[in-house]
Amino acid sequence: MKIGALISGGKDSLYAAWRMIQTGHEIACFITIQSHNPESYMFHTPNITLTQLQADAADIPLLVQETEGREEIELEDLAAAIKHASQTYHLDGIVTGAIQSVYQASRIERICHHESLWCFSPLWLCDQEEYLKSLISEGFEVVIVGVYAEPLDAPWLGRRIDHDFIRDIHALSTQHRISLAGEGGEYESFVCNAPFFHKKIAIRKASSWFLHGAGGYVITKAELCAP
Amino acid sequence: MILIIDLTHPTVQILSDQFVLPVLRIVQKSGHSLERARIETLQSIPSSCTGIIICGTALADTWYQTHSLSPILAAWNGPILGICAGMQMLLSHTGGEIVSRTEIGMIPITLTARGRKDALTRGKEYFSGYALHQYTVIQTRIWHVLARSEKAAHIVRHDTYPWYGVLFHPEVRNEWIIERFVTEIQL
Repeated sequence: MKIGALISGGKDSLYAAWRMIQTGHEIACFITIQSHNPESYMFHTPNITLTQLQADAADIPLLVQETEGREEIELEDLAAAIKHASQTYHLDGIVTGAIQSVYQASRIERICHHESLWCFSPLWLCDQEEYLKSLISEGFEVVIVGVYAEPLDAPWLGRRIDHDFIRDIHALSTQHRISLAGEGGEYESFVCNAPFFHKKIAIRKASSWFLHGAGGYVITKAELCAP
Repeated sequence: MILIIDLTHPTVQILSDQFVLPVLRIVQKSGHSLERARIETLQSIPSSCTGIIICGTALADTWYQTHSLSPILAAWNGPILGICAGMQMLLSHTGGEIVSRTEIGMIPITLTARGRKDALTRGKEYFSGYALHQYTVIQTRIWHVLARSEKAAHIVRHDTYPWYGVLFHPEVRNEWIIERFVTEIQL
């Protein structure tokens, strides 16, 4: 099938796209929704403009749709983007990185149903620890670019997802109500390398901020380099 | 041992990740061993089997409608739980008519008087279920409605056998239905 991948720059959407490739499907395009609302219910926002670099790294065309990010109106923008992508790239379906969010999943399912598209969420209700381990074993390089839940704090920003990260997040998840994969918005990530990238992304300059229990790792300069 | 039946489209292997594996994990967490089979290749039911779950599939997947309940399953009198497309397959096998009726997202579910007494559902009264279907089945009289939404019957039980159908997806936020089925529903 020809698939459009809804990507945010984070690990879940790009790993979901990778699962589709692994099982014989073609990612015909990436679709990114750039929300002007950092509190968007639907769309991950940190470093969202860098999805172009990920598209270049994977050699997959990117379709960008901007939205003001007001609840429900942003869904109209998402629907317009999916419809445009479907017509442009003759898509059979859409893949999302949804893991547990019925809010996110059901809204994308409705849009796909309206457009007569298949909707895939290969990470749906997955074992989150196994998933994090798969990211490492399959060659994903992922950095943490946002933290939004206690006790995640400034030192977590810019960390790579590695076995130490899994050990530490696992320890916190047993004491606090933190989802291992950050599905509840506890943290956000950015993918610098994936098994289907032809080049990797090198972060040359970034700055961190942390205030009142939330923080971001803002990538201000990044470029493609040899894998 | 619980037998998990996969009726996702055979050429769209990725659907099993989304619709079969979550059910499988709930069964494993409940402490039961399991075996997994595809509907079209099922050869026999192991003698150690104590229950069968027929999983659902994607909204756009209608492959299951090209298959009927296999004679091996139809001849089994033990507990069966059909989820979404699995429920449609069970009910259409017993004379029900598949009709178009789309529900997507969390929807309110209410137990019927019979549902308040049944071992699978009693004690829950009202809850929300994750619906993801564009078809349902008009059930025949051999199926009793245990719970319904505004639009459709959502949990049904066969009059004679411990066969259940659940139209919404219990693996999403209603794991208790699968846990009860594998632990409490007996021959």
